[in-house]
Amino acid sequence: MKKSRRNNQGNMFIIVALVLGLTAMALVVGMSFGGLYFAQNILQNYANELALSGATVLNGSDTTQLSQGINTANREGQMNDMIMRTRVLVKDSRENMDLTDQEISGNESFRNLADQLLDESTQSAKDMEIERKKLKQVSEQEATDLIKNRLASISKLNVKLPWIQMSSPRLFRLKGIVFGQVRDMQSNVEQLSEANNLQPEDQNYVASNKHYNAGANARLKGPEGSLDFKVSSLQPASLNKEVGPARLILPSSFSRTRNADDLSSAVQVSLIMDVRTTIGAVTDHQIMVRGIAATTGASSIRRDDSEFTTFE
Amino acid sequence: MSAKRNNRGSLAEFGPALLIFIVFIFVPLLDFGVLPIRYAIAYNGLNQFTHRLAMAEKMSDAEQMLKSERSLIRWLMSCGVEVTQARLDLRIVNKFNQEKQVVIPEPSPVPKEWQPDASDGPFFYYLVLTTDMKISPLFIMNLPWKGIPGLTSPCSINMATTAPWENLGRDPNAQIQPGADYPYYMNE
Repeated sequence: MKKSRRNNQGNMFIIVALVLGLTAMALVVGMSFGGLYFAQNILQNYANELALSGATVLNGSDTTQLSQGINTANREGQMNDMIMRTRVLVKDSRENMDLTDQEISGNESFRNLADQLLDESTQSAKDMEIERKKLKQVSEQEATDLIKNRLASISKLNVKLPWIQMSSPRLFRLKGIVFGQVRDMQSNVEQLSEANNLQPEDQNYVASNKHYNAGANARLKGPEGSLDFKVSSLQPASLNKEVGPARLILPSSFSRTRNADDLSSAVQVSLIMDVRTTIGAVTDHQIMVRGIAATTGASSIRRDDSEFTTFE
Repeated sequence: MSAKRNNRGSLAEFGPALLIFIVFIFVPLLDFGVLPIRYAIAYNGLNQFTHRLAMAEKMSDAEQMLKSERSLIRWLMSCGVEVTQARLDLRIVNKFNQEKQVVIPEPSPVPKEWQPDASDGPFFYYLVLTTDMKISPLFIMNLPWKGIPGLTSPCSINMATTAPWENLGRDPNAQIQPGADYPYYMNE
């Protein structure tokens, strides 16, 4: 009888213990999943922030530099503009040279002047190409440095809770920082419609919206055909002196630049974080997220034809 | 003898008592307990989706994404949340006077006085995804009479998630008159 009584009294205890155990397990699983979700959200925010800061620097709107009195804003937009203006200059100089040869070939001083102008414009085009390549290196290096510095400052965050441990976020080893552009975005440079002797040649380089295609090498025909005139993708400027701010974009809107040496106008940052759940089943996870951002738009004023004077 | 009878009685009463406990307390508690969890799942899913929509290049792209991307709807369905209706709005708030705001249902053009270059600006632009949904309890009972929402039948909820619209630039591919400015991407 004593034995039977003891068994009856233990029934409730077993059921309560079972229910409590199940509830505790559900709580632990819930906290682990909640922790993973929390970690993923934090990491995504970091990636977005890093991509946005890196993208802003690409077109030179770094507030640190501005505070030091260095205005590098719209450097890619200005580079694109100068490259295409130099192209027009080379074309004009060649035409002047040919005209001088045909009509006033006896005048040596005119011939020398035309020759000098052509040499200078050709040299300018070569210099512009060198500067363009330098700008690519400088802008991407500055963006990379800024991203890495910011990452170093946020990497101090280490979450170690009894049920979950998160490592510091780090850049994905293979493609941590990838530079590119917004898919199908042309350059900020608009074709001049008046006083433009390049229209026949431009047909292959200009999109339907009259902007030069990004990544196209708009080489001239004739003796100056070896000169490179490459413009990069950039959100065009507006008449109202506005600048399109740097912004986050979808992965489907991001693409690599057409050529390896084209200026970049967008950046993709891939971060990775180790997450370890320690209560119940011990699991190791790696969470990877991507943040992608496009740089600021061009800030030069889009010129209409009335601003140019044609000399006959 | 009396103690002996009591012990036997408690064991005999435990079965029905457990049944009553499960049917009238444990199951309703589970039903009510599951509702906020499903609400949180739906809110987080829709919030992330709204952020993705707000990163679209154009407003028409965001609308297209809302119509075509059904994976979230299917996932929510598997979590017991049925999205019955969804629509997009653009909420524009004056930066310096937050009481001055307007909600523009999409697809509708943004009036000139609310565009980024308006004299009354600057403004904040938020994409708002408003959804009507039904959140099911854990156990649904098909009763002949109208069920109790949240206990025996799904409860209807209206949820609005917001994200800042990212692309404040102008669309260079738009057809414009000579000398005119490009329209904003958000203003299709």
